[in-house]
Amino acid sequence: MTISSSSAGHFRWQRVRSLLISPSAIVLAVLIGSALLAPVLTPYDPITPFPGSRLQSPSAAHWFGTDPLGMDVFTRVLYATRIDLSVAVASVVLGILVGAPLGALAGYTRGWMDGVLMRLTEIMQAFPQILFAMTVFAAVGSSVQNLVLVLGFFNVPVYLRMVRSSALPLRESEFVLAARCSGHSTLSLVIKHILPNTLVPIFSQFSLSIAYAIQMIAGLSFIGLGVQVPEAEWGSMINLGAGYVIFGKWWPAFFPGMAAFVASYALNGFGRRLKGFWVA
Amino acid sequence: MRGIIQRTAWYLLKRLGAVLLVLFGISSVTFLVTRVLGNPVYLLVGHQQSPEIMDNMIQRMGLHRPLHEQYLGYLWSVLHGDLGISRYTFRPVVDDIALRLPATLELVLFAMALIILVGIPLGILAAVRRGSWWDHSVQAIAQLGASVPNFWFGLLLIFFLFFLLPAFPPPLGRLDDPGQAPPAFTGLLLVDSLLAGSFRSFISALWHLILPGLTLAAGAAPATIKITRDTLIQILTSDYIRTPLAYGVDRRTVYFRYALKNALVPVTTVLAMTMGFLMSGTVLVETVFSWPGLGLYAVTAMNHFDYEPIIAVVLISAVFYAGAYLIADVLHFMIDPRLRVL
Amino acid sequence: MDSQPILAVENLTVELEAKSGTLPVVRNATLSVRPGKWLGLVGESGCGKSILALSILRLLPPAATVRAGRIFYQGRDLLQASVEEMDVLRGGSLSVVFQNALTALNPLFTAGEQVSDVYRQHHKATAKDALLRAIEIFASLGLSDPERTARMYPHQLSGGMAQRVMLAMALICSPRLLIADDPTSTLDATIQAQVLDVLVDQVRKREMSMLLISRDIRLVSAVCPEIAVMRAGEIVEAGSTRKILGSPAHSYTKQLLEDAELTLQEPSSTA
Repeated sequence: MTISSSSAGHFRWQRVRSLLISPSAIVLAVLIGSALLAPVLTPYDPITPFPGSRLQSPSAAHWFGTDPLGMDVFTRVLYATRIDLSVAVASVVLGILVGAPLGALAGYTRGWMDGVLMRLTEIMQAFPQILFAMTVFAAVGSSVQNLVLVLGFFNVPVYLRMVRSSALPLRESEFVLAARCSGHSTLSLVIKHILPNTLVPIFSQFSLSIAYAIQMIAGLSFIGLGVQVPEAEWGSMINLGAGYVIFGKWWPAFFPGMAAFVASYALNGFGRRLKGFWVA
Repeated sequence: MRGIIQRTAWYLLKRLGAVLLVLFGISSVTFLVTRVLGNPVYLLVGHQQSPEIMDNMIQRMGLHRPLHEQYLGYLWSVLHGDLGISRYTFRPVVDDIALRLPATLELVLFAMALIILVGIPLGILAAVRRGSWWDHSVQAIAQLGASVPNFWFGLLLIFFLFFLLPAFPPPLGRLDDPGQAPPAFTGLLLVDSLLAGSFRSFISALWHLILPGLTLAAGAAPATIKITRDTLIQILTSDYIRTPLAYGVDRRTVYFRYALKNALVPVTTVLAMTMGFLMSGTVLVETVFSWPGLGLYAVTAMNHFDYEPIIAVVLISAVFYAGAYLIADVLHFMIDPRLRVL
Repeated sequence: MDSQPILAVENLTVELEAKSGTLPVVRNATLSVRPGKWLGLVGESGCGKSILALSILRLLPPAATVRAGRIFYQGRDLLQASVEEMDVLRGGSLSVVFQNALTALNPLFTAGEQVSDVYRQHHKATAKDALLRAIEIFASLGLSDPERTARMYPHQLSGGMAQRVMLAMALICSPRLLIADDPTSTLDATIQAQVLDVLVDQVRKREMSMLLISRDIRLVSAVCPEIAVMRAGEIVEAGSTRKILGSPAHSYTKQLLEDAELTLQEPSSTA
């Protein structure tokens, strides 16, 4: 069955459009938008405590109420979006930047380097992640940079394996053989020819990795690592509000968690759609 | 069938060797991370301290010795059960762990039981009724669950089931009255209370287990459900399941005699993976519920910059993780004849 | 009556659901097999012949549905039959041999177990007796050391052995009609002829009817006195092999014959 190229292009565009209009994409746009427009959307300051107005329940003045330090929860949730999203994206990008080339190298050369890298990824993925992060933070102290590094480290094996399995079959393909014959060195071959062909699955996984990273960030911050008060971050906000839940003051812990949930869900949904997008 | 017991035992030994290697690898990596990546002394005393105090600390912690000496010393003590002294409980870490391990174990086993009783059947249901309303609901629930921050979910449960509806006890520990704990045989309160014949303790322990157990299970369940469903669908649509159907074997026999056995292999793998998720999930869940287990121990240690307990907890978790995979491996060996070729 | 076909497919239309819509994979197909006679169904990959076979057995994958038509077996419309009725027929009266025996056998059970299970489904017998029957039929199919074969697992079998085990499963309950869906194409060339020989031999000995499906027109025309040609879901030509080979009516048939460089040949009694 042959489809004329113009109708194929039209077909593609329709699918891109439906992808962009999907509920998860819209939610993501709203999230990113609110993060960027935070100063516009709220008059309050996210990091100055107001002891006088502690733990006020949600009202017209404070849509999400105030937390134990007197800060407006809604404001902090909005500003936290910036930190959580950017740290998540940074760590995933780091993981891709390190993991993808290594994976391409491993998949193409398949020698002892491949074996070593695979063993390393096995060990890395065998680690209980939170505990490992805790060990690292106990040794080097916790900061945003370290957070990005550690989470980036966790992403490396994922993308390494992914790119490697895409690269494996490419080894014998025609254009690779042609390039080899024309005298390219292994390194330039890997970078110029193998890598670009492995990018498709990376795109799909990207969104899912960010969703997972957000949860890791929130979890780590919750136990005291990562971003801490007074900076606005979902996990540490939940930590701040956790002790008050048993007294019925639910809002300081509820809204940041809800935000993390919505962000994660939208990213997961979007990532799933991306996966389906390339299939058919 | 004669040789199978011997061959399984031999396989078990080989796998044990592999497990030990992995544990060795993990302990090495944690060692490297703590000694090489950072200097714990700075964290403990801060950068501003005088050089004498710093040197003193370095001497005391043995950090002045060459790296390989430290490493060998470390391995030596680990193998002798000496995991150091905790800086804030002032007790040997091994003792602290022995005290707290049963609490975590009970929580993890309870969550595992929940997953086996609810999660796996849901995955099976979704696979068998593929494409139906059941399938879509189960998948939707799993997707939702995978995006919910686990610890936040625990707080929600506390709010709705303890505060609003006083159905469950406050998240303050394992029993209503710790003084009434049954004599500790296994350390697992459910078991010990039954052994002591104390029904009240049993109920109390169970009641305290439910919310944290549910939270922990809810964190690991989505992945379990999804993988169970996916592997079961693969099996149900396979050629070798179509074959007995093609010769008139009824569905029930095909599912329970054939598909079940075929499914046993991937499902045991899934359960081993779940064990891993559960062990790492305890860190957050125990913090939320003030559950006196290894997770809370590690978090508290970390907040005191006390890294030896953390390393110990990492090792113990790795042991359980590896143990779960080992059991799964051995089961595979016994079930799948293709693994017995070599 | 003897002239009543044992299998009659009438105007069968089967549709497959794909992401882009529904595709008809079998269109208005009609063919019939008379008792004791053999019909060959030939066509290229993807023409719908396997779907046709699965429709007869009522084993279509979930994405495929029968839209129209009827399938008569021994006078009964199979499409109206219940699952229990089909279970009795499948393996007991109406049997199939699939293309790839190695994937069609369950890797966790021995050959003997799988074959005797089929026997016990249709006859009351103890496990031991059923296993003995399985070993008997293994022997009659040319498997050397049938007892040892019965204890083997599929991954230990060669392609030819596995296909014979499949054949054993198909024949152990003495069915009347065998549907052979491309039974030899996954085998090595040297083994193909052997396995085909065994299959044809058994079918003849048991005086069974057969629907032999294949991509290879040479094979089909050498074995079957009657053939049907299928293309893109439709039966374009059907009739006696001699006549069709001598003067093919449809252009597609001509094309197939040209590609196979086939000249007129008597359908021989041994392949």
